[in-house]
Order: sequence, then structure tokens, then C-alpha cells
Amino acid sequence: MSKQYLTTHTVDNAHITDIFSIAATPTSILSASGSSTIHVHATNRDSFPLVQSLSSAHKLGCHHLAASRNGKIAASVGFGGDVKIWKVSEAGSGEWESFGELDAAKNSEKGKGGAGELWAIALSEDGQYLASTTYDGRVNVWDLLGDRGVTLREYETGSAGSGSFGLCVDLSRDGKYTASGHQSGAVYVFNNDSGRLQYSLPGLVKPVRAVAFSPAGTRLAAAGDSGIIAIYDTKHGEHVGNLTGHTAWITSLDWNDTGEYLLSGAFDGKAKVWSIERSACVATHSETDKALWAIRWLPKTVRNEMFCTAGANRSLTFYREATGA
Amino acid sequence: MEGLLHSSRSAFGSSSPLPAVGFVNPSQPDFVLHQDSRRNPQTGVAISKIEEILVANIDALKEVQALTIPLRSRRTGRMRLVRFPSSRDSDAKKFIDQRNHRAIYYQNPELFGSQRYVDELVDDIAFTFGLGRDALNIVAASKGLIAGAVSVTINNGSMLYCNPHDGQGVLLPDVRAISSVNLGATKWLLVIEKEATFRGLVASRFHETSTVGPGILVTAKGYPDLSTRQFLHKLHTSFPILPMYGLVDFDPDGVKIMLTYKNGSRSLQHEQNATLNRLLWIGPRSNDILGDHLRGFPSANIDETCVLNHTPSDQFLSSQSSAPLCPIREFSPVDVMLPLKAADRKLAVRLLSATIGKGDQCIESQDVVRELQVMLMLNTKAEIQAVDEAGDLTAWQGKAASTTAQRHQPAVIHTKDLERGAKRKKMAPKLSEEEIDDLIYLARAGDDADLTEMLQELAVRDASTAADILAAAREEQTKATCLHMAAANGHAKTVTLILSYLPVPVKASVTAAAPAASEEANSAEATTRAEPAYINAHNSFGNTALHWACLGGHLDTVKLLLSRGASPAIANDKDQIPLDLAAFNNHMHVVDHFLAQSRDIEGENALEDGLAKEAQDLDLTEDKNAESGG
Repeated sequence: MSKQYLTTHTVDNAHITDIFSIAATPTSILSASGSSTIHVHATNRDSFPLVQSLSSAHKLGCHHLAASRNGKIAASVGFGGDVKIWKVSEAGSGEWESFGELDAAKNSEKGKGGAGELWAIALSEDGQYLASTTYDGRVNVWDLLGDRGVTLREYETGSAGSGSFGLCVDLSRDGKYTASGHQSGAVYVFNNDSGRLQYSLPGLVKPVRAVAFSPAGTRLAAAGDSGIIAIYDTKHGEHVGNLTGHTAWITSLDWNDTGEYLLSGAFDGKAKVWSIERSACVATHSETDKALWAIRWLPKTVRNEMFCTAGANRSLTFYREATGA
Repeated sequence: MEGLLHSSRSAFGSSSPLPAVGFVNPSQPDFVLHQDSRRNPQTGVAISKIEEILVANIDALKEVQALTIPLRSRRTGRMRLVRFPSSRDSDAKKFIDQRNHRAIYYQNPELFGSQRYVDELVDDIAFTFGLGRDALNIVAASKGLIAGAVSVTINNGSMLYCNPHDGQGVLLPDVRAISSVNLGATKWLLVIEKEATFRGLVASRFHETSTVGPGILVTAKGYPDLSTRQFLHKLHTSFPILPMYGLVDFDPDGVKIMLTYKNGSRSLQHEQNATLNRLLWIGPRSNDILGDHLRGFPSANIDETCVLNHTPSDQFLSSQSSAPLCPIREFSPVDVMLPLKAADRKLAVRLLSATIGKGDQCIESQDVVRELQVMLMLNTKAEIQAVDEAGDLTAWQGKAASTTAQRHQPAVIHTKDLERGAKRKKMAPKLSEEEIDDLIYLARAGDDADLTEMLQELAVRDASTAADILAAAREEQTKATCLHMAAANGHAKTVTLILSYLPVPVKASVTAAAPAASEEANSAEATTRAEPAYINAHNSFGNTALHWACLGGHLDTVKLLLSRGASPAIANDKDQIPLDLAAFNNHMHVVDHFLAQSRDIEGENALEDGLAKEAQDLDLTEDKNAESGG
């Protein structure tokens, strides 16, 4: 049985350039693009109005954006290597305000000359921890509430300074694991408790552009230029299945709240919803033929499950599950 | 000896840099002096000295003696005679060397090896005569090369006709010496980052044969020098209707080169007359390159991917040709793409910062910003060659068309031509003996994976196609091809693999049905003609791959080869056609297949029982031989 999703709303030209990243909170969606401004659109109102613009956030444009699941903390990384942290105002307006920066250039605790410029980022459920990758393959975990000048965990994925570019990263919801995907096709899972590499997961060969832990943290999905979504068991590090059907580079992955469905977006503009149980694609959407850079489920509210896609067409497109009867 | 003599003669024949000496060949004004020789008092001295040497050499020729030229080394100050003919290669080089700086080098780059060598010799010659370089009328030329039906008039009245006969391009003259430029019928100008690409296009005469009319090709070999940019700027301002396109790599350096042509370089900001505001960046762009990766998926629905590949406007503009031109390729061009290096990323961020910093909100700078950001996002770059390999540049055509449409310019870079030019420029790949052995071995063993990999590697290395590599790989002794080897051993899959690298004439002619332009029909015809050459290639005994497949009785392979146009009628040195070999070796199932085929095809023949009867005879008479031989 396939699932039906309908386009409920499109915010045309939400940005003036490619939207490279989006992040969902319970009430809003944040979007970052090649321009300097981050936009916030409300998702709890029918017209998805623009409720806030964080202007001049990243002068050279912003490539990665993450928000904590509790919707309190967000982080963004610019093309210039600048990392900004945001938090929802405690004054009660619900607006985002600056919560400082992350100075990655400072010397790390091991004195290796800094953690290196950040590329991909992920936030823990409460927003306290931030995981990041670097150009030379390092993976770091930071405590945003503690000393931001030092890394909590520092993982090397190659000999010092020569690892493969970390294109993507994710933190499990319980904060226990960090996963990273690399240019070389490597996927690593690190145990944040022990500070060690847990698994090196084989199978993709080509650059891995998205990794995502399932809500319960038992599965890890990874995908990229091979066009295949690989599913791994995080308990034993086993490759438990592949989802095939995309015919282009996969740029983004996201699990729904229950962990039953996986959403994927690809370079040819197609978004697919996969049933994990049946290991099959249950819906395909191609509202655009331009690259999708980011796709996200909206956290489930009273309404039907929804997701949002964004990319080179500069728009935010919202889909809602069609109810049968 | 004769060859050498000839080369020296031709070298003198075109030695127009010394016009006063009487070597001017008016029909071949390949390049001209940058200065008026009559104004230089030392010139007379130089000429008389050269004449002395030449007179002595003419005398020597009459007396059938070795030719000599005195040459004084600047380092030691000693005079020595350069002889011709000589036992030493280096003397041959020096003997021919009596001409003009960079142009000297480019008349025969293989001979001289490097520009530096020429520079040194020029200085030596000047030293020998005790004169300055300028007395020899040798000036430092601009780095840029130009090709196209354009003539430039120099201040002294001489003409520089920029259409080289040797496929090398002509050195750009010093912009200060130009009094006028005649564009003739040229309709466009293409600035190319890479010298190799430029040479390829010139060699294929792209500037003459493009379907959108004649044009001009220019390269400054990487980062452009000031005098090349000044020259282009002069054209730019003198001919505001001449569209200018930039062809650079999809990497940060390519973008920077494009920007340097367009906006000038940072270090030479005081040079006002070196910018090209109208320069259009035709690519390759992220969409061109990334669109191609779809073809890397064998399961992709071709029509669908083609449609998705193009934005609606592109689709409209290139609809005639886009869809049929997307064959599934065994080579995914994605493999030619490389990850960005740390230095690339740094440069990209710097360029991004500079472009955004200017606060320039025009569409073009937004375009640059986007391309740089996408480059960083994907961490991927691609060279021009990568798009050549992809073999389908129609997206560019669409883009060039759409951008020019805005500027109501009729000229469009017909990238189909670019593609063909790029294809033609590829020389026969040079394979070492070991590489050939390996290829032959892999085909013999039916090791498809390794064979694919090796073909791919070699194709990338030699900037050619797998088909070229296959054509070049022939066993030293028997001249057998990889196809022979795979066919003889009945590796039907390997045969399929090899055949898949060859152009598919059937599909191509379907393409021609689209009104895409007669050019395509021509190229389709060309491939139709070209393909049988490989599939029907015979070894030193005249056997084709089909002969060998029949010899081994591999029916599958025989069918495959026949279906791809292998000729069943080619006879080997012993006058045997493939059918004979099958019959001799008692592979009756193969014989039956042939006969069934021929019954279908040659109805009349079959009625008379001609072939079947003949085969029957052969079978009877040769059966024993086959057994003893087998």
C-alpha cells in the first residue's frame, strides 16, 4: 500500500538563492540559504507565514543549520566557516536570538591547533551538545552550555589532518552516539560515552551526503552519491538492508517520529518516503526538477504528519499525509 | 636524412620574421614583426650577418658539404660551429632555430621541447651577432593564442592573419602595435582556459566549421596575462556586438580565471583597459556536470532523466536534440569529477567573499556566488575534459542560447560542435606493451570488472574514449584485439561489454531523425562508418573476431557479433569466411545459425540451396582435418 501525501502549501521564493538547509522545531521551520539571512516560518498556522528573519547571520551564505528537537536551540554554519548559536528568547516572545558563536579556531584540549573549520553539524535533543565535522575528516562534539572553546570529544577518522571530508553528521537522540558520513564513502559511528570509534560501516563507496539515526537510535540510515540508502543496525554495526530507487545523488535523510518511515531527498528534485518495515518506497514526489538540498519531517502535532522540502528552486514546499476515509 | 632536410627547408620557408632577408612568403603571413624593422639601425647589421651565414651555407650546399652556423655561447663566450647534418640531435635543434622567440617555439614545440630552450638560443644568437634581441626583431610576445578568420593590421602596415594552417593558433600581437582589426565574417568569440582544449578545437577547425558560423578562439593558457586581456578588451570595445563566451573548468581556479578575464586582476587594478564586461560564462556549470551523473545509473529511465535534467526553458531551447542525445554510458562522467582540495576550498571561500563583498547585486555575480557555493556544498570539481567525456554538451547550447537570447544576439555556441571537436582532437592513445598485454589478458580471461576499470583509467589518463583505447590495444604478434580474445573464448558478457563502448550507429541515426541539424546526421554517419572498423578488425591472419568465435563454436558470441554488425562475409588470408571455420571444426549449431540467417536474408540463395550445400560439402571434406587439428 502506498501512502498519499498532498502538497499543502508552498512558500515561493522563500529565499533569493538556493536553500541549502532547513531545520524543524515543533512550531516552526528554519531555513538557510546562499544569502546571509536565516528565515523562520511558522508551521502551526495555515499560511506558514514568515515570522522572523535573522539578517546578516552569515555574510557568505549558510550551508548547514540544525535545531534541537525541543525547539530551544539552533546552530548555523556559514560558507566563511563562521558558526552561530541561536536560542529562543526567554522573554516569551518565542523569537530567536543570538546565543553566541562557536570559536573553532581556539586551541583544543589536546593542543592540536584547533578543532578545524566546521562543516556539517547536528544538535542533541536538548540542544546541549553539538556534533560537527571538518574538511580533513575530524568529528568533534561540543558542549554548548559549557566551555565552547574546547571539544568534549574529538574523533580522528584518518591520520591527523588527512581524513576524508566529513560531509554529514548526526547525533542519536539520547546523545550516546555520533555518526559521520564522508567523501570516501566511509560511515563511522562513535560512542560518546567511551569516546571511541564504535563501528566503521562499509558499503557505500561513493561520497555519503546524509546520515540519520532513527528516533530510538537502533538504526542508522546513510546515503549519498551511490543513490542507495543503506540501513545499519547500531547495536551490532550490521548492514541490515538497502533502499533502492533514487536515480540521483541523495542529499538529505530524515526519520519520522515513530521511526516507521524514512524521508529522502535527491539531486534530481525527487523526495521519497520509505516504509522501513517493508523496505520499500511508498511515495515519490517531484514538485521540482531542481536539486533538493534539504528535507525534514515536521514533528508530529495534532494534525496529520507533514514534511517540508527545499532546495535549488528557493521555495519551501509542505506536504501533508492524506487521510484515507 | 630526407625528412630532416625537408623539415629544415620548411622551417626556412616560413621564416617570415626576417622579411628583409627575402624569406617572406606572402601567401603565408603566419605572423609578422611587432616592430618596424626599418627603424632599427641595428637591423641592417643583423641582416648582413645572417646573409653572410646563408651565403656560406648555400655555397656549402652546392659543394655537398655539411652546413654550419657559428654560434657563440653566452656562458663561455666561445664560438663553435653548429653543423647540419649532425650526429647530434641538439645540433639539429639549433640549426633550425634561427627565428622568432615564442612563435619559433610554437612552430615546432616537439623539436624544441621548451620555451626556455628557445629563449636561450635566441639570446645566444643575439650574442653571436653582438646585437640586442630587438635587433633580431624578436620581442616577448603575449602569452595568448588566437585562431579565427580575423586579420589584424599592425602599425607598420603589415597584416597578421589569425587563421593558422598548422592547427597551432597564432600568437597575439602586442596590443599597442595594432592599428586595426578586421573581424571578417566571424560571429562569436570563445575564450578558453586551457591551451589543450584550445588546440583541440583549433585542430578540428571548430572556429570555421561551427554551425553558427565562423568564430574566434582565444586562450591565454591558464591565468590570463595582461597583454592578452588588453587585446580582448580592444575587441570588446571595438565590436560591442561580438558575443564573448568563457569556457573554464568547474573549479575555483576556473571561476577565478573567468573573473580575471571579465573584471581584471586584483594586482593589476590600475590597468583600466583589460576587462570584458560582456563575457558570458558558458560553462561547464554545476548543472551541466551534475546533470550527467544521472546517466551513471543504468536503471534510470532515460526519457525521464533527460526531462528532469533541463529546466523548462532549457528544455524548450534544446528540445530538438536533448532527449535523443542522452545515451546510457558505461562511463559515468561523475568518475572524472574530483573532490575539492583544501586549497580549492580556500580559494572558493576567498572568491565568494570577494564577490559578495563587492555588494554587486547583478545576476551574473549572483550566478558566480551560487556556483561557488554549490561547488563547496558538493565538495566536487570537474575539468573541461570531464564534460567532453560526457559527450553531451547540449545543456550548454541551451544556456548559451538563453543568455544570448536576452542580449538579442543570434550567435549560439553550438556545443554539439564543441563535442565533436573535442572528440576529434583526441589522438590515438599511447599504450605501453604491458598495458596492451593486460587488456588482452583481461579480455581473454573474461574479467569484466578489471577490464572496465582499466579501460576507464586509461581513457581518463589519455583523455580519450574507451573505444580509442580498445582500438589501440592489439596483441603485438597476431594483431588480435580484445574483442578477438573475448570472442574466441566465448565470453559473451565481455563481448557485450566491449561492444557497449563502441558507438551505436542505429540509435544515432534515430537521433538524426529529429530536426536537430544536419551536423548530427553527419556525425551519425561517421560513426556508422567508423564502427565496423573495430568490430571487423582482422588479425595478422585476416581473421575477424567473428572468425574466432566460430572457431570456438560459441554461438552466443556469434549471435552477439552479428547483431552488432559484424560482417559474416569477410574472408581471411586463406579465403575462409567465419562459416567455414565453424564448419571445419564441426560446430554444427553455429553453422545452422548462419544458414538460418542466410535463408532469411538471401532468399534466393537459400532457394538454390547454395550456402547450405556448400557448407555440406565442406563439412564432409574437411571433417577429418578439423578433428586432427582440433
